Amino acid sequence: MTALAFGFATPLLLLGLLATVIPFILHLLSSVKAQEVFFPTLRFLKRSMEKTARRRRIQNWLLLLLRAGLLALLAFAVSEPLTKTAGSWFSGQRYAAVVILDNSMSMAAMSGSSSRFSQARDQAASLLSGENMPTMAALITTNGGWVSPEMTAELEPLREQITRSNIGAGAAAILRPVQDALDMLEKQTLPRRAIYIFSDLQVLSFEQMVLAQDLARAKDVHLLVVNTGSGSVDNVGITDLEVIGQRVVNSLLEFKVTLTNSSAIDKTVDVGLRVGGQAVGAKISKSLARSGEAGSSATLTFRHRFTSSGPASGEIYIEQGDQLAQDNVRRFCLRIGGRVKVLVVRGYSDPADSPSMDPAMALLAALDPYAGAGDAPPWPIQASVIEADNFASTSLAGMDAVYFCEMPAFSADQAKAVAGFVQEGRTACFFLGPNCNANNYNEILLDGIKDEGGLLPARIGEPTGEVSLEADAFTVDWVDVSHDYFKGLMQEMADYLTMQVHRYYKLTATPTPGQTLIRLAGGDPLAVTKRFGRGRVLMFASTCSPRWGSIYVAPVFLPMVHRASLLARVSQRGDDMFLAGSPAIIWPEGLPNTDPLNIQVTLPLDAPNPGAVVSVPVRRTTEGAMARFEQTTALGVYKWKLIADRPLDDTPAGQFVVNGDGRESNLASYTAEAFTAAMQRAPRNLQNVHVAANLDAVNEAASLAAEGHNWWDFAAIFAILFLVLEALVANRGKAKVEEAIPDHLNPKMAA
Amino acid sequence: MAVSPYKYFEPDRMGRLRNLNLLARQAVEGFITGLHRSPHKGFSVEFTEHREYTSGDDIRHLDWVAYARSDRYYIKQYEQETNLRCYILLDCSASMNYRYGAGMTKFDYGCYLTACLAYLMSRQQDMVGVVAFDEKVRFHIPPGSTPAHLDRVFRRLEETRPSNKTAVASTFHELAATIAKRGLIVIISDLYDDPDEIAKAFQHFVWKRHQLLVLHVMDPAELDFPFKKILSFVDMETDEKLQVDPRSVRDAYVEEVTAFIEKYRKECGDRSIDYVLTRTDTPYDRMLLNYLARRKAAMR
Repeated sequence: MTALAFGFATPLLLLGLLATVIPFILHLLSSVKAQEVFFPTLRFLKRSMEKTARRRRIQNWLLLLLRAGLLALLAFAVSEPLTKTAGSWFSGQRYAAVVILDNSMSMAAMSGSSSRFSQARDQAASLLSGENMPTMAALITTNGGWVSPEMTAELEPLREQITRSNIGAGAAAILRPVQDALDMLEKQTLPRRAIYIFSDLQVLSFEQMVLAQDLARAKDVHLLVVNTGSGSVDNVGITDLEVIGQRVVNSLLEFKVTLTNSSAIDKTVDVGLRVGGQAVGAKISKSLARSGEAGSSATLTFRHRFTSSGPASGEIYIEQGDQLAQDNVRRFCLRIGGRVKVLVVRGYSDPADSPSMDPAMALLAALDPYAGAGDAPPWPIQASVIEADNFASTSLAGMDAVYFCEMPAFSADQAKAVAGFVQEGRTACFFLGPNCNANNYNEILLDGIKDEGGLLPARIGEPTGEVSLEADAFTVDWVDVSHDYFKGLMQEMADYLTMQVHRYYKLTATPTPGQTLIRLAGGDPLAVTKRFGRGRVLMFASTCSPRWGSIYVAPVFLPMVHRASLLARVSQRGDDMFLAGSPAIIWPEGLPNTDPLNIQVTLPLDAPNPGAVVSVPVRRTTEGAMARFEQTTALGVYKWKLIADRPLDDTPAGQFVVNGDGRESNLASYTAEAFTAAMQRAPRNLQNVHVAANLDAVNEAASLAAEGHNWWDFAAIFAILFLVLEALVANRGKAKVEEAIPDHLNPKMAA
Repeated sequence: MAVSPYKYFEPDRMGRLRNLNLLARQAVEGFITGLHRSPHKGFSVEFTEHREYTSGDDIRHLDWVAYARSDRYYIKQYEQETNLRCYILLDCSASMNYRYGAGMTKFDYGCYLTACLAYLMSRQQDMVGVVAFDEKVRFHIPPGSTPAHLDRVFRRLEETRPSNKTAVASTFHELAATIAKRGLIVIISDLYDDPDEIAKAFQHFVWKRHQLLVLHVMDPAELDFPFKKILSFVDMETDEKLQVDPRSVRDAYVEEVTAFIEKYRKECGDRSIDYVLTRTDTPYDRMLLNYLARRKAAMR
């Protein structure tokens, strides 16, 4: 004999039963202040009252009971009472199920003595081994784990996969796996189909699904969510790390850290910087408001100057522990280059003049002020000077940038050497001056270089302006402060506009024009730049010596050329920092010219199988040799080395780090009711959605919904019946008639 | 339109009662039939005044001298011609001051009836006395039939305001003991007292060989109880209050009132007393016409 189970589709609405006390309270509290009216005698009324007392008492109680019953039935109806024969969803029924196991980073959060993920994993495994196991099943993990391509009746391998699965470090969008699951289920002929989602209902993971417009096809599928993420949240995480500055030795770098508190309470955390395993500087204590309030997120900045070149790794960390340890550390791995090497080519040389009139000297002082000093402080730029006559293609070897100061003219070879130099990713800067042959520049550097419309960013015209004490200087009225060369250099716009020149070359646009960086008040450009190959060309229409103006003493001049020099190095490669779930691109250098080559990546300590080695092939591209590593599911430091088919004297090796998706730090999750309601709303209209904290509970809800009868309509009919009866007993129809008592019968009016 | 100097005397309505003279007289004669063997005995020689001849008058009493002077027929009236003494007992307790709608109060209605009856009686040389009472006798005008007497009656009616409680039974006993000569007793009241005690008082009148006409005056609201919303009813005589949901007690109330009326109807019937339930929404002239017509029909 099967037991009759009874339940409610929306039990929360049973709280409406509390409303049944309202009629009783009103009955007890109500005191009707009736209007007084004269009447000749009360003798008949008194007797009538006595005669009807019992009937009226019964009527009053009946009314109370009817009204309370009416409210109770309404609460009952909206709660959708369900009955079913227990166990009917599984007993003797064949069904197909797709298991979606959420292994996003938020699932690493501790819930009690174990993580959300381990609870979800255990529940998922029990689904495939219990007496109510599905007939056919498939498994999808949200973060790069194993996905069974087809549904299978062999459940044991799936169960083993589940028990072996581990947490990923990225975010999870549940919608895509659900759509994959629906695709699988649509091919099934079994009458019952279900998608089991073992997750924490994190908003980040489910918000796409909650807003999805195309889930109507899931109407005949039971969507069962085992929610292991309920309960309070205690987590502060590092959600972002941005390293600002040129990755050059001795250059100051800023580590901009974003902290987010997803706890329900205010939190104070201590945050520190570690480089190479050693704490650097003082920790910063920061208070954060509770989740959802202003101040729940904050940005901190650490500063550090690397004094040696090469790979540099470290981390920003939160000292206090919380529910989710994974986001308390944010790692970085930077390529710190050696000092930027800059060549200054002196075009103007007149021994009779003061050295201060030499533009090369002015530039040298700006680029490397400590050049030649014995105990010079660390400086990121190393500058050297050669005479124009000595400049040759070999002069550029090992250089990152070259500055031509009033170079009179270029030979075709020189021009070719410079073009090649820039094309490889370096920077060439031209300061024009009195000795420059504009025609030569145009012929050799512009028209003579066929690639990309010529090397120069503009065509050089005739010089204009007069150098004299009486003549007015040309002032700067606009600077492109959004350009990398200028961004953030000065605090005030006025500081950018301090350059003045008395004489300059008119620059005109070419068919492939450059970008104006500095513009004079008359509208002529003073500085123009353009990309050329992988490098950059920068040209000033005037000199940086005092002979034509005061460019060299403008406050913005020094930091600008400094920035331009450092950027000449930065343009090479990015940092070795990747987000979990995104491919890691490895750029090995110093490779032999033999194939095949492979990169061997050793997995980090947080990986499910720490120390394991994964091999990926090296491909040669136009940008250089590279390898693409996809399995960035675990957080931590991944080390790599080149594997060739023959021994190498100097084996290229390196490392990269994988950080979690910062959005996962926000552990805010949907409540079961909110999620269910969202799924039931148009256009999704999914009625077979059930959420519970464990597998048994969600199965029971599914069983009730699948086999049970929903009695809400009967409850509603009874409620209407009660309403009619109440109206009859209360004589409600007549009560609506307004009655005007004549004033002369009102004792007060009569008085 | 004739203008009356009296509040409760409406010549227009009296005009409508033109045929009432005969009707009233015949009816009164009917009453008197029970009192005297011959209604026309007792004509004396003591002349008092003339009255216009009407069909049925004994032509022996025609005043031919008057006819010769005026070419009209007049009957000579003698003091002893009147063979009826009529006492109208008018209830002027506070409950009589009730009206629900826009009509008149029970007291006003009773006054109109009193004035009308007094006028009619006087026109046919019957003597009419009026007694106003509540818990005691408020005024007592002995029977008379002269115009001056009628004037006195009308004015006293106008001066009277309903007030105080009702003590119908005791007052009736007192009056029954006081009124020595037999006559017609017309009671105009809402009879709000113990019906058994009032019935005993009726019996007292009957025992004293009076003929009784009970005009039971009721407002329609007292009979139909048209109230709907919950009200606090205030007793007009005692100021007692009672909160009632009219819908829940209306049926029982109507039942009680009906039983109350039926009790009087039965008690009166048992004693050969004319009982007329009178609603104040029925014009009093029509009520009298109807009653007298019924009475006449019953006498045949």
